[in-house]
Amino acid sequence: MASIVAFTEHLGSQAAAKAFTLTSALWFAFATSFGMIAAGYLIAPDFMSNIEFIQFGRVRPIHVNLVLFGFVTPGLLAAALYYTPRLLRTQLYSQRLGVITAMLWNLVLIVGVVSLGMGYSQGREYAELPWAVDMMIIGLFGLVIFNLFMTVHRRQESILYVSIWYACAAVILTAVGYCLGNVIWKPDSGALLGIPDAILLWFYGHNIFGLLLTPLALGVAYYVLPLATRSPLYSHTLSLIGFWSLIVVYTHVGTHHLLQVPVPTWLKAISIVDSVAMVIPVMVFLINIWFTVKGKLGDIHADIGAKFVFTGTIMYFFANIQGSFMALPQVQRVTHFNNWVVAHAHLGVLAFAGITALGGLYFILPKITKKPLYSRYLADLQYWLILIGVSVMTVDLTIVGLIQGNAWLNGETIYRVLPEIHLYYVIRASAGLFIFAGAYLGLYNIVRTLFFNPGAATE
Amino acid sequence: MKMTPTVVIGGALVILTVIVLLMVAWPYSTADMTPSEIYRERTDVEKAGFKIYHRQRLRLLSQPVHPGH
Repeated sequence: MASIVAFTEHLGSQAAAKAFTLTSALWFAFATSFGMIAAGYLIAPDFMSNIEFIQFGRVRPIHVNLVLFGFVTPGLLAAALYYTPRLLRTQLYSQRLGVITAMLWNLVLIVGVVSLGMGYSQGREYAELPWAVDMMIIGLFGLVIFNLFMTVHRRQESILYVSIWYACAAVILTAVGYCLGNVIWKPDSGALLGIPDAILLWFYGHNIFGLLLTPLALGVAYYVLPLATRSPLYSHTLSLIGFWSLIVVYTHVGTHHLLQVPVPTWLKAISIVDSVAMVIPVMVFLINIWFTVKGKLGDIHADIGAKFVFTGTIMYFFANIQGSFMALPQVQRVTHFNNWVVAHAHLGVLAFAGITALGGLYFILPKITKKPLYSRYLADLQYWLILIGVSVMTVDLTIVGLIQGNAWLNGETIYRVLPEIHLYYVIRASAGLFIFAGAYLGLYNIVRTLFFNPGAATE
Repeated sequence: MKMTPTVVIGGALVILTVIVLLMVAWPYSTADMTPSEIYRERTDVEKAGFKIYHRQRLRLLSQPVHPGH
């Protein structure tokens, strides 16, 4: 306990946001490291395969879970823990609780990595973590919910800004969804039986993106971009429509992962229609935020945080258009069960939510440290490394997906297709190197900014 | 529309509940688990393979990660 008090005091004011910032930067680096190992296997299948802990089947879920719960979620939460009290004209309910949550968050991530590395997996995508780790994650969300909601309860500002809606909804809906999706009432398997389990799993799996990363990222965008451009929000009404339509529409789309599976046809029809209807919440948000910053691109360019976040909104547009398109059955005949989907996942999770999280971190860092960023140059370099890396990777994997999908439809055998796509896997790993380098540059820049920053205090 | 904490959290939870009932609970409750006419029991070899590769169950600490080793 004494060490927690000492660490909290060492971090100073805004300790909770700082702790989550450091968590996000650290695990971004680890997550991309595991991603690079996985990319290596796709070029050379025997690459390190004699090391049991990092076999491909274990590295992949480690990479995915670390990106979701180690990098993007803590990054977006860091921003939320900063902007929530400011928007409510109060203090965070407990900085110490926030720091304890961040420390436990890191501990749970370590336990999760070790569990998956040792082969203890529940084998369901995005729900691989064993039951004990699931319970810890739910506990962590409970701590975040308590801290945020008590802050809301003690607010001095009567009006809740749209970012607060998204932050509160994201944590509470994810806590509930995580319990359901991981079937926590069945500790031995973490699963139902048969087709109903697939339906539940993809309800949960897609909502990790739809009810956790997306609302938290939109909350950051709604906070950062109007402030950076010194512009009032374009429309409160569009904010309302965007918020409620996101929750209503996004929660219906999970079954579009199961169009080739004997689930009820009406369920498939709902998921396809709602996947296309995702243009409503997405375009409503984009119209609102882009009209807010209209004519202010110079201000966005001047602020590295806003630059990341604005780029994230553009990627949100592309991810949505692609997502709606690939939910159509005739399209999915080619694009499903291959690297097209992996491209889409990188576009959504890294290019939209991840880049937005980085933008949130860079926007709040000078404010929580009361010093300028250690190096704007390194942050810009990281921006371009990640933007180029994820763009090349997305295009590359999309091409691979089209080759694989058409080969499958044509009855081609896998061993004849693998040599055709080998070059693209080399390009994929090369693009991954850009992201890998960007992650470590960001970690260095953030650690220097937090702990070893010689810059003069701004306040 | 005034977005109070009750409206935001209560509204979001009500929507989630309704959609879970529609999209998860309803198909679960109406799933027909009757075996089709082409159903057959797994052979012993298939059962052994299923046990190794397709169980969705946490390994016990006493179980080796690779049963074949």
